[in-house]
Amino acid sequence: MKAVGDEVIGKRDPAIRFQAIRKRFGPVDAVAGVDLDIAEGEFFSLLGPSGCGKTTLLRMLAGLETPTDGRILIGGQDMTQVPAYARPVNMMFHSYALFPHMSVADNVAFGLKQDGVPKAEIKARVDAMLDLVKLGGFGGRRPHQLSGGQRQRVALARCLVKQPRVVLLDEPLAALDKKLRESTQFELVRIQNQVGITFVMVTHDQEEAMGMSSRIAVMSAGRILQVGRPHDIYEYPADRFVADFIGTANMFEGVAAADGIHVEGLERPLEALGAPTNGAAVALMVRPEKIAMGREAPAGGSNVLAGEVTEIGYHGDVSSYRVRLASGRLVLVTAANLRHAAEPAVGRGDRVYLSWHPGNAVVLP
Amino acid sequence: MTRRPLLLPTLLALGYTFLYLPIVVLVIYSFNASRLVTVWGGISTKWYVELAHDQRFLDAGWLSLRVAVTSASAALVIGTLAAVALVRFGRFRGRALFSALVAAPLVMPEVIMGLALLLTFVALEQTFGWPAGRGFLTVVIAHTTLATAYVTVVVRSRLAQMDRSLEEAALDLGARPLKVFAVITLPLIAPALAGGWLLAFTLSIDDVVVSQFVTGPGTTTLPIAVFSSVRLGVSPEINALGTLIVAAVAVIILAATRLLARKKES
Repeated sequence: MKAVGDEVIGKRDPAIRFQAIRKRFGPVDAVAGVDLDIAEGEFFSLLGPSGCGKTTLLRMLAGLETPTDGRILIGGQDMTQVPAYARPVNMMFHSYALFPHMSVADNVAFGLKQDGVPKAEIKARVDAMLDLVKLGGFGGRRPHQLSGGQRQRVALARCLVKQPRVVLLDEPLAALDKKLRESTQFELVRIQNQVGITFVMVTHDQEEAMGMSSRIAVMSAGRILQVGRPHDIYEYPADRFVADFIGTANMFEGVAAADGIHVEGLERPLEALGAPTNGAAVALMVRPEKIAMGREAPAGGSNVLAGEVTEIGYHGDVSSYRVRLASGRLVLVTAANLRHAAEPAVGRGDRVYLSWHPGNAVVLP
Repeated sequence: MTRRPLLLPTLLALGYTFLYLPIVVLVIYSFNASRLVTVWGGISTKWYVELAHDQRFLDAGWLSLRVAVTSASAALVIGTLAAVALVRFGRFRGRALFSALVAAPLVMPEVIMGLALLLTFVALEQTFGWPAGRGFLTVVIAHTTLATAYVTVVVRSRLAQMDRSLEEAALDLGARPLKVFAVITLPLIAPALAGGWLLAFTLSIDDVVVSQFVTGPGTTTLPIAVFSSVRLGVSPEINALGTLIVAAVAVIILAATRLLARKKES
């Protein structure tokens, strides 16, 4: 995890640097000591359950909250005490916060007017920005005459038009319906590539974060648990919380020994790469799609478990299976529905064998 | 036809009768030709003509108008600032006390308010020599005190409903706090401001109790003029005046409710 961050950061100055940032609300630390570097041009996501402090961190970056402790640097300059209106940062609010008494064009022009940009230039830049978000010709409308997706794009245009160093997105897709959310994900990434501005997004939706971000910081209880590329976070979670929060995980808690990880209720120890051998209590994490399922026992493989299918969830492209082992433990398996229609499907009550390659399991402390 | 559909209209008619019959009677008698108030003597508008030439009422009306406009405007400014402090400044020392005190005139008996204000004015005059005597200034101050509470309540609820992120977005886009208040907050709470002002205006223009205490010789507001003339016997002229006031107040109240209702749309 550290290697990835340093490698991205190393080449350029970080666009944003949090140094030991802490924010107290009454008796609780909403943000409890965060150190984080975000590189220029990144699409960075703060991911975590509600109340984990991600929004507070974003608001401190915007200048809407003042940190109790620590420093925030933007482009190498200390911005901790700089008020929101003087920061080279623009935020897209969760509610979009479009000014209802102004037209779309006036909304987008608002930030430029504050900077005293000449009228002709304002008009040109607003038009160009509305074209970028595919709302050319909508400038005269009022926000309430637009659909949810259009409002979202106006909000984005309003952030981008000032050409800030950093754009902040607070749950930008949460208010959209599922279909629109998916297409908007691509749209946001396209626009970010086009303008080349650093984006920092807050979200509780892990799929959203995985699909859009160059890097993700997973947060819980005011702290950052792991920072890394989506792939690293998913495949090599730093701890059990991250493993559980990102995607679905089968956890086998046990004791690490020289011959593998001894898990209560399993006949043979589980084999894992890079596991300690000192008798430490660890958890072996296997993703459901990494587990192969078959009616016959695989020949000579390690990590083979026998069980019975108790439930099947059909999702079209994939199906998820709950398999009960002899010990009563439930294992979740997902498999792509590649089967030819004539082949017999695995059904409820069938006896199956589960197996996985040791390299697909991760040992977590 | 069942009997059920008649029940609601009947109740409604009874309700309206209860509320508005006295006013209707007043309006009808204002067109009475007879000098005796309770004896019908045919239709006439002569009392309106007589009223238009009665300098006493004209002066009182003009004074009331000036008092109402001044005190409503002052109450609007103070009440709005109080509402902003209560809604936007978070928790400050004494907030709960301030909140309770601002609303106190809403529930305080007017007689007490009037008496308290009178005592204060007298004490102030004796100590500092200001305000000198009772008159326009003291009435305006008294009405402002009363109306500020109403303005605060109206503006406060509107501010509390307003999405905080609108102001934050303006701040984030580079507008300084005062500019944000001027170009975002004020336009969005404008309906509540207009409604609050009108409420304060009507409150002032028909106030008798507080005015009685704090007014002085030569400063007779319209309601006080009416009240004192009625004590000498009700003249049909008063009916005509009453009708005009009812009409004016109705228009203002209607405008105020319209403005307050529109705030929900935006």
